[in-house]
Amino acid sequence: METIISKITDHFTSIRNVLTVLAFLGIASAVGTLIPQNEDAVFYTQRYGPNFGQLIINTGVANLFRSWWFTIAELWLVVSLLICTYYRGEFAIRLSRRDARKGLGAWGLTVLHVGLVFILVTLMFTPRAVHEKRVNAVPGEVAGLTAKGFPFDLRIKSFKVEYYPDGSPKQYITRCAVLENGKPVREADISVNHPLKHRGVKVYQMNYGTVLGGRLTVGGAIVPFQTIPDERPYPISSQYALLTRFYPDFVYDMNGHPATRSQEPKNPHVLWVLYRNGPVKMGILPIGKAGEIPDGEIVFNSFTQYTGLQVKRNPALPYTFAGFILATAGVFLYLIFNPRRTRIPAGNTTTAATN
Amino acid sequence: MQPVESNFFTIALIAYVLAMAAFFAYGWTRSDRTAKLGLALTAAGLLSHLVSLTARSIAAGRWPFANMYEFLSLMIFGIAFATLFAGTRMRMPGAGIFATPLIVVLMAYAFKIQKAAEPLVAALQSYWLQFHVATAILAYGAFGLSFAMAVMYLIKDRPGASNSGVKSLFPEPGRLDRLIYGTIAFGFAFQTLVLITGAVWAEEAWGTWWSWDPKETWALITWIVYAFYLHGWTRGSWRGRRGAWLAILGFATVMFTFFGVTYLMEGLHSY
Repeated sequence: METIISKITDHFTSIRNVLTVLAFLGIASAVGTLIPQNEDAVFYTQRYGPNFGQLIINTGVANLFRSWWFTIAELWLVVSLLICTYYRGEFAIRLSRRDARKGLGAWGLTVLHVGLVFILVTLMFTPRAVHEKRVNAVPGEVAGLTAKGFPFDLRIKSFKVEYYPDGSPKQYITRCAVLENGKPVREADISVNHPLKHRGVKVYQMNYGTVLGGRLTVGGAIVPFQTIPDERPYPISSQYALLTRFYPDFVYDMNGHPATRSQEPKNPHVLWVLYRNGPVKMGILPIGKAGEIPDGEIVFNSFTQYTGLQVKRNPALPYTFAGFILATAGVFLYLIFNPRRTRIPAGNTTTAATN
Repeated sequence: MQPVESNFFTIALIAYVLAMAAFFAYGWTRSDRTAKLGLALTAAGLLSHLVSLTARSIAAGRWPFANMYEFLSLMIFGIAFATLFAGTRMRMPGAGIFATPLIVVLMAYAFKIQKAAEPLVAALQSYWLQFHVATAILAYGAFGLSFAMAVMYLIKDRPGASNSGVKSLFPEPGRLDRLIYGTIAFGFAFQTLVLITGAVWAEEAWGTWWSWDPKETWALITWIVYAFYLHGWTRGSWRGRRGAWLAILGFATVMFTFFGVTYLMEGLHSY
């Protein structure tokens, strides 16, 4: 029994093995940045050819950072870190008895390694523990988060984009009320770098956009619709789809292409393409003015900015942050009480002490 | 761009070029006075570089931490400072022979991409930006110096050659090896903090502390290369020439993280 344990211990503490795993993780990570990750299967077969593309998918390279072999390498490192930390701790205790100052430096390295265990473990498990949802909502609307498994709802009071004097965007701010059982319990501003924190849930400002409201009249029948400007056509009824682009401050540029001078709604126009099994008609319309389509007309009569929020509960986060704090403390202890460095009184040379 | 900022930046570039010339001359003449001249010119470059960075900060009303040009300028500052430190405190002016060409090349490139300060986009408006960039300057400065010392080591330790000429200016291989180790350990400590401050900030801004974005993945790869070096060195198997080559590979990953990822890959980082 003892020999098995010591064999396992030797395996995980062998510096040769540690270096092999580090090299493997480094090279694999590099591959993961060279080959695009998490794309559709078609992407890989088109880009890399049917055989090699399929190989990329089958070996997990297409989702490399969550593949079984990458995870095993990470787990190996966790076990190794745990065992080595135990020995490092013992060494730090012995060294502290001999030389308190150097002992602190050795403790620094030990604490850094403990921090790394926390970070690595939560890195692997966070994607499995996280509960997150994206919500888009316009001011006045209640974003129903309770229906999505979160402990509160949000009433969106306003959304605004702040600009610098040169016209570039400065900050995106959603003002909202937190509702518990339908009753407001607090108000909050959510902006980039300033998420709302409430009951273990964080709400982040992610993006924003415009919701266009309008009406389609075909053969006497009226179809009201709401649509979001996007790269792809957006279905508005069982038969029709609309592709739209919104220009808050519309102008034709030097080449005669539609453009916007600013983000302020001084001259709002919509470029639209109506689809019914294929493109039917396209045009550019100011808000509120009707345009002709075969057997009827189309009008856009409203535009509202919506705010895009990311709602997230990450129960692993405190452990990750504990890891960050330990690793940072370890780094500083090491830098201040470096156990290897001893000053030779005669000069400035440094020398290595044995470990 | 403001004249104070751009003029002092140009003066800094000229000073670094002259420092490089002085250090090359030092390699030739091996006189202490030439080495001192090289160090004095490096110090003058650092000073006018500092004036330029300060003028930019005052004009923009913020720290110069926001784009490729600004960070490159700071990284050069870090490497130049490390060179001065090596020449004075570590009594190794020979490092300047290899560090100053690196400084001049990076500085010339920074000169080319110079541009006026722009206001900060929302994601960059965070206190963490300051810690993130400040720790990166220290880490990259140390890694730049370790690169110069690794080249010195490979020249000094070349088998079969006599210890004459420029080689006589470099410390003994054993001492050089330990200095490379110490410098990398220092840089590695701060690289760890670069990753942590970046992760905390990403959590505040994007809701995810780690997303395998190419820039952060390459910063991690850099960290792994140096972790490999430190562990290999401690156990004795990656010292000497092997260790020096590894230190050079480490700095190559630093450069790739900075230039390669920025220009070849798409990601969340603006530079």
